[in-house]
Amino acid sequence: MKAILLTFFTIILQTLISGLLPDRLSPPDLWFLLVLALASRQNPYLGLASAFALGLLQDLSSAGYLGFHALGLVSAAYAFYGLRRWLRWEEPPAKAVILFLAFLAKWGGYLLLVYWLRYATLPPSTWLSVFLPEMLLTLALAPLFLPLADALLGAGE
Amino acid sequence: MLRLAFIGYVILALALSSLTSRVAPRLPAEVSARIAPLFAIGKRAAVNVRAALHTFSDRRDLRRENQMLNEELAWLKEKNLAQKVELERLRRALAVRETQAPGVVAIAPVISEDASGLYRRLVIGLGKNDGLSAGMPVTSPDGLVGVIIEAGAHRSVVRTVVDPQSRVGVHPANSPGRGIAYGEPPAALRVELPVEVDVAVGDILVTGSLQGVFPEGIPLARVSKILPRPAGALRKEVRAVPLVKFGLLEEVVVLSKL
Repeated sequence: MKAILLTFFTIILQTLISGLLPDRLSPPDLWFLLVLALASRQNPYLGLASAFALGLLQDLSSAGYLGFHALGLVSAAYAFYGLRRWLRWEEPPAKAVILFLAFLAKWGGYLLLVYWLRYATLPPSTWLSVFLPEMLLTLALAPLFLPLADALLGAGE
Repeated sequence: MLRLAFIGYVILALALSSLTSRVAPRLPAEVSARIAPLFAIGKRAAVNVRAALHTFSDRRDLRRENQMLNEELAWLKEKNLAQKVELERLRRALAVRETQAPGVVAIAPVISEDASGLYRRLVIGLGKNDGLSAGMPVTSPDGLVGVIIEAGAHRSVVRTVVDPQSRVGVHPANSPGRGIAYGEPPAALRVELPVEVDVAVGDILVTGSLQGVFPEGIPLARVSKILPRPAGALRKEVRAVPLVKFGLLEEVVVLSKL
């Protein structure tokens, strides 16, 4: 129930921030932060399933190809579980490294799907105008969003 | 085992994307139109906050603006007489244009927009029951917004001109030569034009494809950069900024299909 409430809250926050930012600026990806917040509390199998389901919801909200965001988020969750064996999620520096690498994994998932559908990679402008601002804003918002998610979800593992 | 589960999800995502693109391309847009109210709350709040900030910043210079307006009013009074003559001429031109260009079908509220950075789509609050259908051009007073790609009973999904799947035939407003504007999210267009076309930074691009989706002459974007042209290239590329501020859109005008 708390996870559903957090998801609902994240959707509202995501659309609010997207609406407030200038059109030229790609918004932060709170779906990604939500997936990691949930993954840090769920066993890996449930975490991957949650990430995939949230990705499908994001695909439907975007009226885009089904599976696009789902693959990105499930890749991020898988990277999260892999990295957590080596790094401690509870420690801020390690958390920053996990966030960064999981974000790269998410875009790795996007790239795989774009190549699967079009036999092409993303154009250079996408990296500069979407990937870079989205990554910087997402990482900048993480220290605010993740404690908020902790407070809503209660104590983690 | 976790690796196997992950590989399973990867295969499922690839299969779903293929099915969506080949078998049911309209399904995501149909569902998006139905679940739009869930995503509309934040969008509505953001529009209101931005509008409030906009109003606040406008009123800071109210006194100076008032003085300027008084001066402008005097000038406008002088111009009024000449404008009346011009108005009559434009009325006649408009009558001709209305017989050639498509009419307005509806004015629809924008109720939601895609919050991710990779697509640029809007959900509007009218659908099939209001006479809307896929393929109808969507505009605003500032310029072209996009085209309806899916119409539900009461809502429709609009693919904006900066969506990566958007293609719009264009030409410079004041010179000949046709090209194609490709959407580049989050808020830009890449335009390919013949090398002979005379275009400069600041020029306005308008719609202009022969037998295209959009009516001729709708303002689309302002050229922001002329990209360097490789030796031997058959086309020149420019980057352009759309005239419509999608984040501030509250209403759009839907035109009938050509």
